[in-house]
Amino acid sequence: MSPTTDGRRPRIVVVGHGMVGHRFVAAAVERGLTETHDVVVLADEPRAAYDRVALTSFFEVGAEALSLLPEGAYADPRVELRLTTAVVAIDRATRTVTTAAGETVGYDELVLATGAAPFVPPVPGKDLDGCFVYRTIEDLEAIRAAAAPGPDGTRRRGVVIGGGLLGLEAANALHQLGVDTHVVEMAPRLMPVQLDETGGAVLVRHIEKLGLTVHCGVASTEVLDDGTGRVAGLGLRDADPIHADLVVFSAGIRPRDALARDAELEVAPRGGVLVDEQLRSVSDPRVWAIGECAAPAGVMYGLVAPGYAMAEIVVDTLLGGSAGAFTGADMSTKLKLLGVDVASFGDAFATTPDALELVFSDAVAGLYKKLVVAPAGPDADGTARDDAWVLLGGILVGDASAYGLLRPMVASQMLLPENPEELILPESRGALQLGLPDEAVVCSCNNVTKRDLLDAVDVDGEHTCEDLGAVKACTGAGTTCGSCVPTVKGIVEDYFASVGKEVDRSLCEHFALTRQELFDVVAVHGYRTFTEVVEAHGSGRGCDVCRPTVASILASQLNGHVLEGETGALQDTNDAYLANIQKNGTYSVVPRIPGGEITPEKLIVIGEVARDFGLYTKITGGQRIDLFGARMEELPLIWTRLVDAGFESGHAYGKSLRTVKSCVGSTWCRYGVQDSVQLAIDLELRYRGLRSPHKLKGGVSGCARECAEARSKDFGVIATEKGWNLYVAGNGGATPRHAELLVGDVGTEDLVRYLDRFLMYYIRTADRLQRTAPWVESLDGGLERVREVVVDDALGLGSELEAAMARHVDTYFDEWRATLDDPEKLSRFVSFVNAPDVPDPAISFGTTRGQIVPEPGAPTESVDLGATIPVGAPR
Amino acid sequence: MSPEHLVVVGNGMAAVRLVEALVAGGWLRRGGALTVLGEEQGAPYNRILLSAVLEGTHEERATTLRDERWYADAGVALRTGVRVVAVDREAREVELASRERVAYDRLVLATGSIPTLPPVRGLVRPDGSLHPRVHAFRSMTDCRGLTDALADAQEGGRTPVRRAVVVGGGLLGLQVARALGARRGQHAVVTEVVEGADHVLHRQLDRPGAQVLTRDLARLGTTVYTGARATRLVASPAPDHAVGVRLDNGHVLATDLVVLTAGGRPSTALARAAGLEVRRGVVVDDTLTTADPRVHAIGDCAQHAGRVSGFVGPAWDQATTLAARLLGEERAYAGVREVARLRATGLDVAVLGDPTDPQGGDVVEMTNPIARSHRRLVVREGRIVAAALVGDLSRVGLVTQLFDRGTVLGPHEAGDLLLPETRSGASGPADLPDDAEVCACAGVSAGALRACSSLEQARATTRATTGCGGCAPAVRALLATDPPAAAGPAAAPTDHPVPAPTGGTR
Repeated sequence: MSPTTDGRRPRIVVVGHGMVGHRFVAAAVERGLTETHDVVVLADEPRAAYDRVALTSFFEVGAEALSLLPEGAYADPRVELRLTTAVVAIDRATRTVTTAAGETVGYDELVLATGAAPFVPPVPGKDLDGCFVYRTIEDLEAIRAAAAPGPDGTRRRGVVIGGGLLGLEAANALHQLGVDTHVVEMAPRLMPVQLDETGGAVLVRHIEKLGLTVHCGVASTEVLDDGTGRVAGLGLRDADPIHADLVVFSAGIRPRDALARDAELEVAPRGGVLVDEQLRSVSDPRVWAIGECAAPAGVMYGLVAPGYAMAEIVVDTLLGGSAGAFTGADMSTKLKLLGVDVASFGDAFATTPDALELVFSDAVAGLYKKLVVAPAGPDADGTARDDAWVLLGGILVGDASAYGLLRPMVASQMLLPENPEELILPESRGALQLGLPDEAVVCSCNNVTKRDLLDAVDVDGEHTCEDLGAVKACTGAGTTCGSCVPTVKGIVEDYFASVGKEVDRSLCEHFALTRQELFDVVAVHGYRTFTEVVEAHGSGRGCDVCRPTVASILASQLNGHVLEGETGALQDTNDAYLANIQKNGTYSVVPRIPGGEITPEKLIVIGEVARDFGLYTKITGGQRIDLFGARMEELPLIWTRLVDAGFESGHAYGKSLRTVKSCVGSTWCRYGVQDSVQLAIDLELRYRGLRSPHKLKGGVSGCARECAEARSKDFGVIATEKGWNLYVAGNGGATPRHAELLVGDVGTEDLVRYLDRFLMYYIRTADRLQRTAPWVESLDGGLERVREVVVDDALGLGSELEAAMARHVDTYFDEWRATLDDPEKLSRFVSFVNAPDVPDPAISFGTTRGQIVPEPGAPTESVDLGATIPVGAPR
Repeated sequence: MSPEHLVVVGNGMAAVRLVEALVAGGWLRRGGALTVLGEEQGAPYNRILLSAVLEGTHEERATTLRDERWYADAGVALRTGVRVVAVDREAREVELASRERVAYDRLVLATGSIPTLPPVRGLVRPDGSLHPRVHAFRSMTDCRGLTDALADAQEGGRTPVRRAVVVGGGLLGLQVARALGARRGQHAVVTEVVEGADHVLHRQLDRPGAQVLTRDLARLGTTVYTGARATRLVASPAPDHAVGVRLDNGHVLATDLVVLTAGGRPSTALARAAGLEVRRGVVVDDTLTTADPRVHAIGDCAQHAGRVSGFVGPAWDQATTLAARLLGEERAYAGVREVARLRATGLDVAVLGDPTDPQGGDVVEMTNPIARSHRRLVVREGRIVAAALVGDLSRVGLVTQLFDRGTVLGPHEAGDLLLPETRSGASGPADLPDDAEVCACAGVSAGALRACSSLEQARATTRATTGCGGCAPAVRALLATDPPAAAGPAAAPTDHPVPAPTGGTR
């Protein structure tokens, strides 16, 4: 466009600096219109354009973040932005506008971008103190002031008139401000323009769950006066009035076209400057209108996207282009209202002839998804297409993730996939441990159900825990006895896998490896210390998860002394003192009694030791004798006596083989078919000291009567006429499991070979603190897989596993004997490092049934080792 | 219990099940006697299969439940073709139409239901018989009459049957309509169904479900008129058909045959005359006993806990429960939840419980007119309390199991049950053609986004995602992907001038 006749650069005056006005200026700058034109923006608001669409977030992010022009001015010097400068008149004859201050500004092109104003229905009392509209930052500030709790802290009550898109945003604002919020909508459902009946109902359920109250199909009659000119409530037709301290009108908007009317520009019957497809006023070619104040073909568009399109078309036209024409807009919307995804697009109400509705509605999950489809017309060659469908529109409530895909499908007329249901599937849903019912209590210590766990990790829920640790902290599951942790982990991981979330299977924050990977790493590199492992594959100094795990892996592979070198400091409390700490801070001592067979001489030694040290004695479930009440500093003395009598450590403290229980077998029993005692002793001696992911228990029964309860063990052997049946992966405890038959009727040699392989395979591949039963369960293929590996040697690992076990057997030594022989290790066994001879005074005993027991009145919490007993403390 | 003479009035499906259970449980071995008085001639048959006989997929004898020989061998006195006209509770006798009296120690009423005739003028002739072109469809006799009518016409005696109108759009009506439309080895009969309610199967299905079914019927050649009542049998409007059925909307359907399937009511006349409590059916308690401890009622004629069932499942359950009680077992009938299946070629409908009860619970449903399926679950406190499956019965086993066991489902599990198990992976943003507009706010096409290598670049050069942001996931998926193979004649992005009324896509 050429300069004006007087040689002056032509001037564009823009009235209004809302989102659309700003878009116009930005496009003018960007596309070079300012090369030829000056732009003057006259805005009545005190602040430059801001993102009104995101107004709801004002309370969270503040005005600054919403601003579209944070610098307050355009970088282009040919654009002048004048705020707080209301235009009061247009003189089309002289091509000038007059500001409120009386100044006149001449224009060559006038662009009206005055936007719209909230519509306040003419109800009595609409101007009372406490009535608001929801449109500008200033409105929100006023609402915030009125919404502040009363002097006694009482919550304010508020009513929003209008249950459309804007009304719900206003309701959200009130709700955020802690106001008890009601929404009153005249139509029979919420968002009547966008949603159908079912979609509206699902939205109501979501909103009411947040504590808001929704009244649909209700007309407001008047705003009630409390007698002092303040709002007391809202009167309704045919319903009780709602008591309220504030009323927000959000019942639609009306174009701000008063300026245009006064200037005798033609306006549409329902308001808005009547413009042609180039957004040029039909009355004056020098005047343009864009955004909500414009009515192309008589229709006003209350969304920002059509406004932006209009702005671009005017810039295009002023640049001399001719392509731009506004012929209507896609009124599709997707929003998050009160935390609920809502989208409506295309022919959402199936008004097209032959349209069909494909509906998924899930009141339980709060989902509603509707696709409006129609048969596809003939293809480009004119061939009719049977069973081909196109998408016309749809409604999504509760999950609008498909919107981004679906809306373009409407415009592109692409054919729908064979089963369009897939389009409204959630991203990915799998079988969520369907075996376990939701009400199943997973953690019995803390009464946590599977549902609680799923709620905690639900990506759309309120907790959205990200990993196992967070789930444990959030629900308490697995924090007491810990026996449920693998199940919890499985449920959580299955869920994450089902929602397509990356599952972090790493051991802890220090190692991005699983236990199995770590085991392999140690094996390949031959590491011998924690320091080597953490330096090469981890970070930091380790924690109480990775340190004992690495210690256990090192112990499994190297079979060194658990208190050797730095390894000692890695161990859990029990391993650290080679004894089990009890509730009053004393320890228990369990010498190994293989197979439960013991000579009278050894029994007498145990009796004498117990008597001499004043220990409580009890027969354990594993056919041995537990001596309780030993102080830490007494442990070496007690063990000296025991070791001298030929006893060795029973590893009751370790994640290692405990006992192999046996029945009396064919030697004495009339029914026994094999010598179960001999086998039990052989197995216990073979696997003693074997460090593993969790404790291991075994049993051997001499006949099918199963007196040794072998099938409740990690490995159980039951004699048959032809040899032995080997059962694996049983346990007692919180979730008892029967061991299942791995292989039947094998000779002793084969039995030992399979058992070697089974145990080593478990040690290599199980997760930390995962017993054999959940381990087998966690394997793809379960026991069948174990059988393939162990019996059929499908992986060719057999000889390797056997060799590893042989190495263990060859290098076994008694930990307690080795400890007694080593003054350095012995030095750990004192209560106070600075006063080695002082026993811990906190320890006291009472007497029950003729034996000592922990003092009933004494504190029952475990002793805080870290604070008062720093000696060799694990951390 | 001392040996008793048990008399069963009725020889339908409930009665047979009762007799079978009593015989198997040793009623006769223990010295009891058993007499069955059946009004219909011949051996009892499976009424559910009548439409299969009509269709021609089953021979008539294949529907026989137990033949006369079985009764004779078991020692049960079976008398068919006898009508009981009265029960004398004082004398403990029933009276037959022949005036013969049969004594009983214990009486079981299993009289079933009788079809109701809709109020259509001209159905019944002055002598009380049905118009020759009109057939009921309840008994084997009705079924034979209908098949004969179809065959007669074929032999050329009368106007051949080319069209039929079925009055009643319930389970039976749809079964008959489909049977007529799919007659084995015969020319098909063009069938129309007239249903007074606003959709078919209105006792089992909601409207969207019924619409799916109606579309399916239309595809199979059966037209359904809903919200329309037949009011009068008139002369055929077309010369080549026998009669006309006038609807209350004034329309007249030309037809050669009218089949009435518009429901039935419990047959309670005997009980009522005997002074037993009758509401909709003969009222029985949890032991299936009437107020008279020697009189029981089971099946379609009985009303338990306010409900008359009309389905074979509850009837059989009542029969086995009563038999167990009579054999000395402590057992109560707790009422079963109803399971209804539509038995019709090409139509799959299964209904559990009452899915139309608006107070039933939360509704989880999928309506897919393209796949012609509708699946609706009603869930209360995590349990499926009712379900309707139309068109796709692939999950009926699982749903029935969960329904029967009252398994508690998780918040998404009910929805999962309705969704396809696997996605074909056929459709994602990647399949959008280049000219598909992805960002509506900025007017950016898929092709323009494919040309961008990062979200930042897309933002900067196309302004996509800067408006409402709703397109962001699709935009991310499109960045620097190849166009789909079948994107149209000009698939390459460079060949495609981006439609840019706004210039926003430069």
